[in-house]
Amino acid sequence: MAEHALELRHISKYFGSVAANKDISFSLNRGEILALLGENGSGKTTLMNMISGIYYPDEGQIFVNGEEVKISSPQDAFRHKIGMVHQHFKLVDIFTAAQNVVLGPYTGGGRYGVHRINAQVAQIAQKYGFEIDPKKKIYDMSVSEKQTVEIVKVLYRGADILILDEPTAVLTPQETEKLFAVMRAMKEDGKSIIIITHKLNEVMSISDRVAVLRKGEYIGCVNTADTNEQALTEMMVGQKVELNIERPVTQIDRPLLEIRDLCVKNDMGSPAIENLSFFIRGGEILGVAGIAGCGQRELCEAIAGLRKVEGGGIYHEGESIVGLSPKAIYDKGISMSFIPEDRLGMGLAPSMSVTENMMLRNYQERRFGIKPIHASETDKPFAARCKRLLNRMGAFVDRHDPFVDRKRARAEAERVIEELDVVTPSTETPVRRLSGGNVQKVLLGRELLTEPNVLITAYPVRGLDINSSYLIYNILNRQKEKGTGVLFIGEDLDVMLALCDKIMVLCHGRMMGVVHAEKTTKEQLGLMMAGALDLAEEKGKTMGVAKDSRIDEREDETWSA
Amino acid sequence: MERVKQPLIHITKRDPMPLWKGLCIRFGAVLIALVISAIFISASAPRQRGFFAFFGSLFSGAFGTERRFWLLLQNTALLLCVALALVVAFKMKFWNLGGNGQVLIGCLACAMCMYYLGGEWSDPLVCLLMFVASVAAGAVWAVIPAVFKAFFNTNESLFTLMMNYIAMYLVAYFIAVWYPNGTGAMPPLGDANLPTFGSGQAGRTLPIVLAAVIVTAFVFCYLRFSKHGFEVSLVGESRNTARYAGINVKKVIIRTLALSGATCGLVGFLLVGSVNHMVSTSMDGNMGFTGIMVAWMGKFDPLIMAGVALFINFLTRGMAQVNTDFGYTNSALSDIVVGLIYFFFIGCEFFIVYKVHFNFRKTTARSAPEFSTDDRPQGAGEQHIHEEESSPPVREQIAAAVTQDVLQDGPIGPDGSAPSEMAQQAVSTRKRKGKKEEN
Repeated sequence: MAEHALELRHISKYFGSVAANKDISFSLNRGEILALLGENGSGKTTLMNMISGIYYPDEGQIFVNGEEVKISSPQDAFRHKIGMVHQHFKLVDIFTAAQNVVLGPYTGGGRYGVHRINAQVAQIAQKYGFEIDPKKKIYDMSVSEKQTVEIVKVLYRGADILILDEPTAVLTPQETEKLFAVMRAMKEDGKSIIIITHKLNEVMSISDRVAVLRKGEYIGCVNTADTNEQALTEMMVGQKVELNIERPVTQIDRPLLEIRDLCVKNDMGSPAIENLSFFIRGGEILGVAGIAGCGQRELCEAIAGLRKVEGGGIYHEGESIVGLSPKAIYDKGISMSFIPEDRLGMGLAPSMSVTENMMLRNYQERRFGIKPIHASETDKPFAARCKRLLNRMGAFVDRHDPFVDRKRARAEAERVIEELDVVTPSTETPVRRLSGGNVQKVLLGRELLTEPNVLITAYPVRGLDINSSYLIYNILNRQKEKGTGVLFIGEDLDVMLALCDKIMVLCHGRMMGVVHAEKTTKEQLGLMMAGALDLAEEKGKTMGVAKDSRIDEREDETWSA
Repeated sequence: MERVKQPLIHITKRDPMPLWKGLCIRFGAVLIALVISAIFISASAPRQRGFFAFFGSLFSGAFGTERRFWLLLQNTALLLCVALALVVAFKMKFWNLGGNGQVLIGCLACAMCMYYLGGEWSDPLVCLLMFVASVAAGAVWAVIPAVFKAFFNTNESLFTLMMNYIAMYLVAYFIAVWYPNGTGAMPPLGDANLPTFGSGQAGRTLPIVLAAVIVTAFVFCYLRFSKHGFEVSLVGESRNTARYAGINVKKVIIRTLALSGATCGLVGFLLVGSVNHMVSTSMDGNMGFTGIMVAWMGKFDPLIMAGVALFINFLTRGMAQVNTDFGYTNSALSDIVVGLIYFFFIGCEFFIVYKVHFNFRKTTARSAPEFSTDDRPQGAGEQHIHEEESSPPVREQIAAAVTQDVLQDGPIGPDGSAPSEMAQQAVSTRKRKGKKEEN
């Protein structure tokens, strides 16, 4: 048997009393692509961080090319020719691609020469089929270009073992295909690659073998050719899982929320959303697809009243809500839950308990409950006046109740915990200590408590395990059946195709079209996301494009009060 | 099996430990720091008084006479009030470093009332005015940086710091105007002193202690039970989340700082009206900065902070006595010793949260039993070491879902497995397994 490029024996890592990795042993052959599969929180990233020198294992041994090594820093990892491409890029924005590539441990070879380095980078890129301009600055680059720089950086340092942590999460289907082509070229060259991913179809198409982790434990390793998606899911989850998302047919209502020619700026002051028009009907799920940073966040914030609307209108049941305070918009029944990349940024206060996070939306509502004194007709004028005055004072005091209602919040927390199956030691645990899925359930649960009629939810399943994801899809479907209009901003096109009724595609803040989910394909969406296919301009003539793609021309049918 | 070099020090996060164990470690840390200080002082002091005399002097300085005891309480009360004022702002992650200035400006406002109105109006009326003026002045001094923070997002730390100097020189200016004799000192004013409860130090201290108790109770309730307190923590957590919850962030920043400054102003009122009856540029006693330490060491909890404030004043007053008794002519050495004690006290927190493994022997990873020792210079909490010795293997049964967020705090439980069950398992395994199996 050939020597393994990398072998792990009995690796364990503990954080406090929790085992992030427990007794994990597997090996990576030379020139193979190994997919590391596991639900979120199963310890994939921890394991890879140990191989790349960010963490140090508590127990166990690592062998590179048959020799035991200790990797206690990223430098050690480079010495052993191990390179990792992290999920969040570690690049210097104001440097060019080539400058970023040569950053890091000194690899020898004379003076720093721009031309020489540019040539070297271009050479590496050419060898594996990357498309990269060495002189381009990072801040001018798209996400996929940045990722290319990361990979070239690792290759430049001479890595033979590459670890890619969820490289496809930020890519369109076309970009993913390109990446896979590059990976195959690297494999031909004798590099060994570990790829971490959630997406089973990608695992099936790119990998030679699959190693599965579950809750920090190593479950097994199978040849990709001998398995299928269903079997892999079962290994990952530990039980049989139904992989179909249902899409109930509902009575579609009149539009609840209408967006007309909306213009919004991003934090930098440049346009994030330009002349966007769409609407959501009651009883439908409208998906929003687009690569990261195409304006989804700004759109959500504008609707929720958190971001200034520069132009255009937002109408809720025919009434303009532009300029209203976030609270007023919320009180109208428009609820927004946005799960940012760190999962905690907006909508939740990480250090606060579950109970306190329940209060976030309604803490102002507590009243002393002072009852007005009942006036009777027999009262003398003076007594009646006194009573009126007392009542007015009572009402004033009541409005200014200085205390928060913890009891009610705790009851709400208990309700959410029970209904959504949140795993938490108590209602008083800070949400930051919950695992990702539970955090999201808390957020979504709170937003659903008030029974909104428009539910805006961005990345609700970001990083969730399969069971929790399906639970959330079910919740959204239940809301839809109740007649709620759901705006679903998602990442996974397969899920959106199965769950949403219609999908709107954004590219750089512009709408590329609204398509019926059942009449479109992933490829078409991918082209639209990249801006290569613009259906919005074709006036509804293309197949699969919803008629209301151009709302302006159909004013007779849009409803306003 | 081949021997491979292990890193010498290996740090891991430990489980949250029970309260008593943490207290034992902290107490042990202080004790050891005191013993080291005692050795240090008794060996090097100009006047030889022996090892145990150090402790005698320390306690006699703090509690020796009735007057010392009341002074200790008085200083504790004042320091606690300032620290509480700061905590209100700190909860909002507004780093108010202007405690000194806010106290001083309160002092000045109070002294102004006494100087200009004392003897002319009736005492109770002047006292009332003194109170209002001090509190208002403190509030204004804190609101100025708050307004700039809210509207222009200026750096509040620098701003409040600079306000300290303005307040200090304002005080110096007024003293020079009132008493233009060039000494820069001011004699105590006779009129409009605050009433005392009986005679002696106790009578003067009691109102201050009472004020501190009221402020503590108020801040405790304000932060924990009130809507305002909830808004304060929410703004501190994330301004975006606060806006999302419908909070007017600017209003909350200004309102909170007004409260913080007003509390500092109250301390100024007590300092001038009750303690000193005059004002000087160093009247704040640097409480604005000591208060920061109280707030952080007390983990922003008013009740723990009361204990910390008492501890700090005990040390300062005790060490002053040690200084005298051992014949030091300046306070440099005693300051070093106080610093040493703080160092131990704060340093032991690290060992409460983390565990340090030392790999003294070259071991092969699997075959040798793992030794783990806590690097705890103060050597406290020995029982603890034994219990933690079998650390990694005993956790074998705990399957957990962990990502990087563990680094921050460690998640409670993986989806689908009840945490309480996990904890029970952990405990039972810990009892059962003393030593790692040898393969």
